[in-house]
Amino acid sequence: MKAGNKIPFMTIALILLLLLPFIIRSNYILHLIIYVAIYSILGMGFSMMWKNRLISCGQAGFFAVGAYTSTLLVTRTDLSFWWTLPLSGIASAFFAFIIFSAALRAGPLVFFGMSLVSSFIIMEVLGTVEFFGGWEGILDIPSASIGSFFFYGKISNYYFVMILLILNIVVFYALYKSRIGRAWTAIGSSVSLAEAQGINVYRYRLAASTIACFFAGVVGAFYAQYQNLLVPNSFSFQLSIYVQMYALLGGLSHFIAGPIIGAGIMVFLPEYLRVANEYQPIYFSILIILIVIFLPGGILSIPQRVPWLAGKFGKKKEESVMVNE
Amino acid sequence: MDVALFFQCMINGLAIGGIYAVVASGFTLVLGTMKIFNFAQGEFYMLGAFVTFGVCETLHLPYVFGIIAALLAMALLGVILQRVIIRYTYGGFFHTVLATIAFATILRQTAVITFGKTDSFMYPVVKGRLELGEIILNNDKLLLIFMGIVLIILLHYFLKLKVGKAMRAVTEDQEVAGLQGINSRRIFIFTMALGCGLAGIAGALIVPVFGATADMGHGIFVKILLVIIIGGMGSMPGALLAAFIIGLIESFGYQLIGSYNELALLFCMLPILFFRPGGLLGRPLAIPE
Repeated sequence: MKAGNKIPFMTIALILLLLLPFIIRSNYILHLIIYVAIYSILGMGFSMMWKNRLISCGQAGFFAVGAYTSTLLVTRTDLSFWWTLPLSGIASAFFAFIIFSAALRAGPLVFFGMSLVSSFIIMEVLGTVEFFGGWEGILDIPSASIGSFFFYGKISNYYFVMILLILNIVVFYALYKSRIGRAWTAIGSSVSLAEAQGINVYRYRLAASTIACFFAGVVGAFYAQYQNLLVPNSFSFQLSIYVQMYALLGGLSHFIAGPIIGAGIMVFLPEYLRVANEYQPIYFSILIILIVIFLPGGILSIPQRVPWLAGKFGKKKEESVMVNE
Repeated sequence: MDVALFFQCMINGLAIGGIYAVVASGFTLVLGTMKIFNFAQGEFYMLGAFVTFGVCETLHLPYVFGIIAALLAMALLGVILQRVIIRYTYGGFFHTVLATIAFATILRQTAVITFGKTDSFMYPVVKGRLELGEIILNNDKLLLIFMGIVLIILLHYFLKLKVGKAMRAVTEDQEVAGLQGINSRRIFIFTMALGCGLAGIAGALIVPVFGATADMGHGIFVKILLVIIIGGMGSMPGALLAAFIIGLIESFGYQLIGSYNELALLFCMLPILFFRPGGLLGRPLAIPE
């Protein structure tokens, strides 16, 4: 698909997003959509690392760093929320930079392990150290405000998170189309080939993970002011796994659309199936196993797998097969 | 810190380190031979503890039977994981990882639903303590250290046998190993059984000392990840060394700086990783592409 064909489609989607709160008029569904947006941003960060063949298991940890940075700055000092929004992204990116600059020297397997270990340790520290509020968490976090207008209801927060999401998509899209993105694609298809082309694999991978964690931190700040409370347990390893699962379900070779579609399905599906909370991880896990075995390319790969649909999207097939494995 | 406390911390650290070493060596065996990142290792450890608890407390059998039951049950479960799920996901490393994560989640959640979140304590197998002047050493923790070291040494010599050689041959090149008459399918099953069985034994060893909880699998999994990262992937002596180092850092750190000890652990490990990317005694292991 050429870029020109996308513009009308994008405009329609944008107008639809703008009007959505007036069409739906249900606070609960808006709440779920806000969650879809949060998870999509985390999932796109995961996809950015996956483009470099890095598997991150720690998105939840860097999300937490952002959320806590913003909250502590807002409650302990008199800094405005709008200053803490970029600052929490920077804090998260800085933390990621320190950890991954060491981990990436040893290759992707250690990156995978260290992302999990660091996110677990972040959660433990947030829970056990008094300064961060302990396992009971921090209550009564003030909502963001412009003048006397507070981002308190669902609709204002909906627009807020959509701006973040669109900003995220635009930045990621621009990066993927730029020189850096092409280098990432090269690393993704073959590391040794990329090295032979003079690409510094270590630096490009470090850049990808730092950028991804920056956005995780920013959306963490949004999450804190939206929820008005933070509990360390909500940033557990389970969240990182869910983020991976959204990306997988949507399609690992679709770096922007995949996480959004995956998150959309996985947030809404359990709500309508009304699964008991205790059994939910079990059903999710069985679903993961089934997807991994029977549909490794995700939902967006279905058009290529069904013969009569493949003709319509024939052009795309070649490209994504190349990226896929 | 006086002498008695120092030795107390030392013993605690070494006991925990011994357990880490056993679980981590099982993990690194599977990772090295089959290139499978077995997320369920921690849950196997947890289930091993519960199997022993069930055999000894409910069936009132001797402790040795509990250990054997844990070993066999976890080996069987590991083989089931390999034959039923992992076998079909050889398409990509990430897909295998996700499948084992999902399997681990199923095990943990089932355990949480069945056993609840409370601790299950067993009667102590070894009682009494060793008193050397001011220094007091608990016998059960000494036994834990002893068993950890014995198991690692046994494993080390076991891998020098013919089976161990076959395992290394399959690691190097599956096809050529096949030409030498090595049945790689059988080797894979055996490796998986051994690796998961070791986690089961570790769980069986820990249950009389620290008890069993349904969510203890995750905590230890993170620690053994750190152990194999620091020790060097696929390196058995490295895993042993790193396990004891991490056990000691944890035990002394908790005594000295309290709740910051996990953070201290992370920042102790980063310089090691930065200057020795392959771990203390290993070389970087690549993900198969």
